[in-house]
Amino acid sequence: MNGLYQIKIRLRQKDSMFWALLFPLFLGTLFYFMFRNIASAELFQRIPVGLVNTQENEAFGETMKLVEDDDGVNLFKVKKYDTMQDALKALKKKKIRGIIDEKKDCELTVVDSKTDVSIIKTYIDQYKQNEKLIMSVAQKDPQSVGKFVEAIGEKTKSISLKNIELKGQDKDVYAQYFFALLGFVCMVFCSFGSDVASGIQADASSLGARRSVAPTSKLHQILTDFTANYLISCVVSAIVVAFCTLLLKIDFGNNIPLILLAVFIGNFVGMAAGLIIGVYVKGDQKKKSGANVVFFLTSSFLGGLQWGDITYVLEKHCPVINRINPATLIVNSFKSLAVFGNLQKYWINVGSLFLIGILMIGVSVVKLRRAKYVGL
Amino acid sequence: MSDFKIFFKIVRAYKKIILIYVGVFMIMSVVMSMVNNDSSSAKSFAQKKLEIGVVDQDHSDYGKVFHNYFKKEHHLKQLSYDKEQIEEDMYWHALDYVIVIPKGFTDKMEKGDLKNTQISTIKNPGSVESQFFESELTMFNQKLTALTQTGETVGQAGNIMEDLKKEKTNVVPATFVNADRANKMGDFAQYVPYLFISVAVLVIGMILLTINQKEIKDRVECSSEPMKKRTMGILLGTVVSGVVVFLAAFLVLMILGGTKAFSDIRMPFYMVNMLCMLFFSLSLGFLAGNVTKGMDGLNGFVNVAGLGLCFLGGIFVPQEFFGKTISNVARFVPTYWYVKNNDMIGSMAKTSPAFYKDFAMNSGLILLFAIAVFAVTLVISQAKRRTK
Repeated sequence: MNGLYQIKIRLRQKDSMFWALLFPLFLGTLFYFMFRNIASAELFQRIPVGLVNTQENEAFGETMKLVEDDDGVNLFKVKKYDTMQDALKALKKKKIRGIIDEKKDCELTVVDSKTDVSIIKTYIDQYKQNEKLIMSVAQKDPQSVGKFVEAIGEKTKSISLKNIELKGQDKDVYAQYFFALLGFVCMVFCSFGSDVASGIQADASSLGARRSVAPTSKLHQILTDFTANYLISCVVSAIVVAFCTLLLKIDFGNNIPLILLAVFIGNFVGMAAGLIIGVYVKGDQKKKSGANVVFFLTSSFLGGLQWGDITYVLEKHCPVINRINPATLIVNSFKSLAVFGNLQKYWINVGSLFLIGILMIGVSVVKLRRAKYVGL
Repeated sequence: MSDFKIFFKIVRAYKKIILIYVGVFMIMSVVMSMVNNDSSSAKSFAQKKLEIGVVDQDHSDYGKVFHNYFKKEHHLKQLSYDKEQIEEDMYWHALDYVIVIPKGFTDKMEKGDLKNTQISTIKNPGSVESQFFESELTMFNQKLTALTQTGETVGQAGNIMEDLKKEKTNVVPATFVNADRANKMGDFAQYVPYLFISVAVLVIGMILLTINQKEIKDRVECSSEPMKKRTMGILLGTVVSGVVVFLAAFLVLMILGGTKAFSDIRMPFYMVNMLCMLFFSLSLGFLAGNVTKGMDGLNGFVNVAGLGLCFLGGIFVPQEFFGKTISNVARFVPTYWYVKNNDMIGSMAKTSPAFYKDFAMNSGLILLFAIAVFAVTLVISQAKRRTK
């Protein structure tokens, strides 16, 4: 009966329910529209390049225009400029990514050294190397030049590369942000756990004071309150998972039961962390709430919500964080399923999460059960 | 004045949690600026070195030539073929790309048996750098194959290619680019909006929630002090606390800039840009405190506002990756203009009338957003009072 009341109480807190649902749906939609374009922007956008002093080597510019990527799309968008000043103006306005001065042995003028600039540099290097190579072959054996030029320019006449595929489905590097978003959703439920703790402690809320004199055992109170809130958190996160998988078509590994299991265990750990905060942080609700914010934002940050590569940096310098941070474990369990198709890794991550949750609950229950109040 | 004092009484009551907020968001911003600093400077063109695994089952010339050709550009690791271990390393990005050279590969290549000559590769899923390395590898193979077809052995072809590598393109920075473009100051300034927005919403929101508690509000409403004076007191408290956070962030910026920071021409512009963002953040904090009903609402607000504005503005993901639609939507958030200014300041070597014009326009837009949010807050606050 108590559990039913808890569910009613939670559902009537419209503010917390609204934000718990709104945030992941909002950020999920934002990610969807942002990252949908990024993959194509990185891979298929033509790189604008400026050429100056083109009369020095006309063949260079013409060849550059013809360069294609693996999908037959032109790699460069070449524009000729009469003077270096004009080209510099265009570079400053980001209309081009680099200027090639043919008079100075194809010197490249750039603003930074991002991947597209590396591609321009690699192309010029290759052009110059091939030119030198053809010249030297022509000097040695003029008759074989034709065959050599054909061989050097044709991928099909070279060694073929056979890619060994990993077992997972989702190879989109930006799927990581959706994994981190679900990890974040789980951690946000720490506020539910914190509320459970406050509702049981006599010195934290008037409801807690009232319930502390009730004959019901503390353990029973904790279990029913926790379970009731946990059920609601599972429903909310299931809606978020459904939104991401069915509407946004994000691939979390095409195994709905395992995805939901990871999310539900994540909710359990999020709430368990909130329980610890509610029990050990003394003071009013604002202080506890502040501690919750610090917990879920830090955990999500370390799990890669704001910057996806942080887990790799941590793995190099402090790998233990990746093994114990709940948000990272949730992200990695999705990654195991979706990217690597590795069930063993999935179970290790989910198992670690569950153990961390049990440990947190144990620590909280011990403190709550021993609580005695001389006066309030 | 009494409201100003009350504001800081509340700050004192929550000083621990406020300090934790500032500390946590400051650490996050510093970590992101330190680690994300990819020295993408034109001063020294640096191509990213990748972790390449080599499984050499051939133990012959191709492997040696491959090693000599790529050893300076990338980190090469000799591996045995253990797929699970390779997946494990790729999982943690300890490996970006793996190449498997099969037994007898060099022999087949020298005999021109290309149909049965194949190299297996394993790519890190979705990594752009891995794809870039694959195109480097393809070009390497094309040259090597062409040379062996002219009668050279793989070893001899390797020597020729080693010699060819001297043909390198000279990369120079554009004259308008600041030589210190990639120092950590610009990177830290990039993440400052996340710090300002999160701290302002949480701290000012928390204080306003306390002031707006029913019992306190009812008591204050029946006092003789006019509403305008009360609002001014709280506003002053908000600005003073905001300036304290700004000074802390500016101090960190100076520390990251090192000794050069004092003479850096860009410093005043960073300062003005950050101040504009501070005023917007304070307005947003003011709004949060007036529209949310409790800490749960405030937490939700900070997530949507902090993360939403930072992602949409191009703070966590570079603006150049935005598609047309997102780019058009992003123009309606102040963080977008902040990042535009920050990029402009970072690469500036000297000021120009065009720079002043763009900088003033972007800063003005941020301030307009701040004024608009503040005006909306006042309207909401008045409407609430009237309804009551």
